[in-house]
Amino acid sequence: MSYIELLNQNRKLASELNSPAFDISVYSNITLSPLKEILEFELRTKGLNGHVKIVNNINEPALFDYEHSAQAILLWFDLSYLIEGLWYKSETIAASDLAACIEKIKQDLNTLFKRFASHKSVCITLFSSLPFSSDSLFHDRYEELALNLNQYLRYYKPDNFQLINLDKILFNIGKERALTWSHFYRTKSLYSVSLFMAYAEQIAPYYLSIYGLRKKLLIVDCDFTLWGGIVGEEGVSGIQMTRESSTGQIYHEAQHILKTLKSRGVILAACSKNNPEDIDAALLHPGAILRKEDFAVTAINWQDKASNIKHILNSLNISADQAVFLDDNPFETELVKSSLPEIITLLVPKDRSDYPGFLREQSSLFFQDKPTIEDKHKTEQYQQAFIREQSKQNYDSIHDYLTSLDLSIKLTINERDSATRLAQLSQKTNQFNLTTLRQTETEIRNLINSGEHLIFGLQASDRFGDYGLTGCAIISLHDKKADIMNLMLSCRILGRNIEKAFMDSIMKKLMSLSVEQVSGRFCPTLKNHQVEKFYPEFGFKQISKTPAEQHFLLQISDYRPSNLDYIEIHQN
Amino acid sequence: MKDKVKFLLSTVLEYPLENIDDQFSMNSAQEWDSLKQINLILALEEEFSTYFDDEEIMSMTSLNGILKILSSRP
Repeated sequence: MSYIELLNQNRKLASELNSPAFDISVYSNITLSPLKEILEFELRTKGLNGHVKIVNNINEPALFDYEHSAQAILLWFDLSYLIEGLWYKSETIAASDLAACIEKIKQDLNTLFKRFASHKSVCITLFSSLPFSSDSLFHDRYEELALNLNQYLRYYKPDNFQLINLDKILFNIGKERALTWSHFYRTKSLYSVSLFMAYAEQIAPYYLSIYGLRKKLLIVDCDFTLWGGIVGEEGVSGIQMTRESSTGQIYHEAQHILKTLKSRGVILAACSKNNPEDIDAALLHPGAILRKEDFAVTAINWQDKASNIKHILNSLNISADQAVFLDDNPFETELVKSSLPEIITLLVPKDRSDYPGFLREQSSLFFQDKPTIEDKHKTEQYQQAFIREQSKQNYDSIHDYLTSLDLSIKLTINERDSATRLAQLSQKTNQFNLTTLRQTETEIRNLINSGEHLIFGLQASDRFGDYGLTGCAIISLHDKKADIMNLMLSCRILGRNIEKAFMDSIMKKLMSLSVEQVSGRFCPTLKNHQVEKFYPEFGFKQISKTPAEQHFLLQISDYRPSNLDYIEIHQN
Repeated sequence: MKDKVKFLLSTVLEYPLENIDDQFSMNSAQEWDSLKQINLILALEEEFSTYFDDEEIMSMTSLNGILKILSSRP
């Protein structure tokens, strides 16, 4: 966002926000004017109506007449101007003079400590020598000065002082972007808009925390969020979360970071489209750092995640604006965002090696001024309070969301070129697979050549991308009867009701061939519970049931079409 | 370019756009003080993807002054 855009947005937010003003007074020995609106904007977008007042160019911090009425005090005394010209004079003055300077600065700090010792919120920016000290081989006096004074600050500051590490912020955005030399010599304005933006972003969680707006709950997806791989497809032995592989190493570290957050009082919940037994088993994996008991609530089922998250929030009595949702799939994060706009959604970075660093950065969302012992046991408390209840689904918003996706499917029938991929799909798909009848490439080719079978291939795409050939139905034809030998969809495209559009198209084709009766089977396995009710949904009647197999039959005139308006269907 | 600079002036100084005429300068509005000048230069630098040196900034105290410096850019 550009600075001008920010100014405009900030004014708009100021006129829209009704919440009471939160006054922050900033005191500095250099010029920080742009920080005012940048910090206000940062806080206002997060629901805190910050009003920032900046007093620039204070020469004698210890003598200044501070106003104590503001709810929060932010002190940013830059090392460069603690004494006029300190950044270059420190190298040339006599050692004894420098020692006297340090003594004076420490006395000044003591005065500030006393002045603000009883104020409820004081932030003080640590000293940084980085803008003026760039020689990595030579330990200059300016650098020593910063070390010495920071140590003093850390050791002697009153409990109510929150330290802000300017070095980290400078490192994050880089010196080139952080400093504005052309303004420094004219107006003592050393730092750029980018630096102020990074600074505001870093300190905002502190203000949100003291104002009671901090994030409390982190809801995480499982596959590709807690481990590499899909537990429902690859089994517990196939997923990666140990240091044995590079992917595993990344997820191992990610789990450690999440565990650390939990120990800092963040409540964890899991929300995943999976069979609960699979997730239970994965969390019992010897390499798992997070265990089932680390989660206050788990919602592991095949419902849409927005409904599940609403259910989690209700059961924990936590509002959406206190929650963060982490998933590797943009389909899910956007669905949740569209249904619960107040929630923060985080997407696991595409390049998995960025994932641990990303989590470390985002951890600041959960910053808590002073975690209590009680906070550390929050998860247990919430677990005790949690009562399972069926969530109310929010069909309206899901429909809107699916409509926004530009979903489209393309069907092929008996296409020989697809045989390889269809065989793969048939071998690998476990969850959305009605009979788990596995077919090899040759078998599929033979079926295509038989003249008595229809092999449907389905390609799906939405605005997140093209998923390729991700669905297959194998149907045999005898006179006016059709038998669905198997039907399967890759789990990558579930949750979009694509199976309904798929069935509609299949039935349309069968009707065009004057088929009158359609049969289908469901063969339960450990992993395909989610399709147990598949056939009845379309009007099929169950005609027999054994533990191994359920038979369904449909007079095609009884077929219940879904006629979804948000999935475009192309048929070759 | 003139309209864009007027817009920036109006935004940074919180001054009504319709009151910014071609003769607008630091003397025209008390909102345009030395602190706002810093914000203004930062905004101009960002919007026009450029940096101004010390001497240039000294002369950018009026709409015409700003336009003159900006038009000297390639």
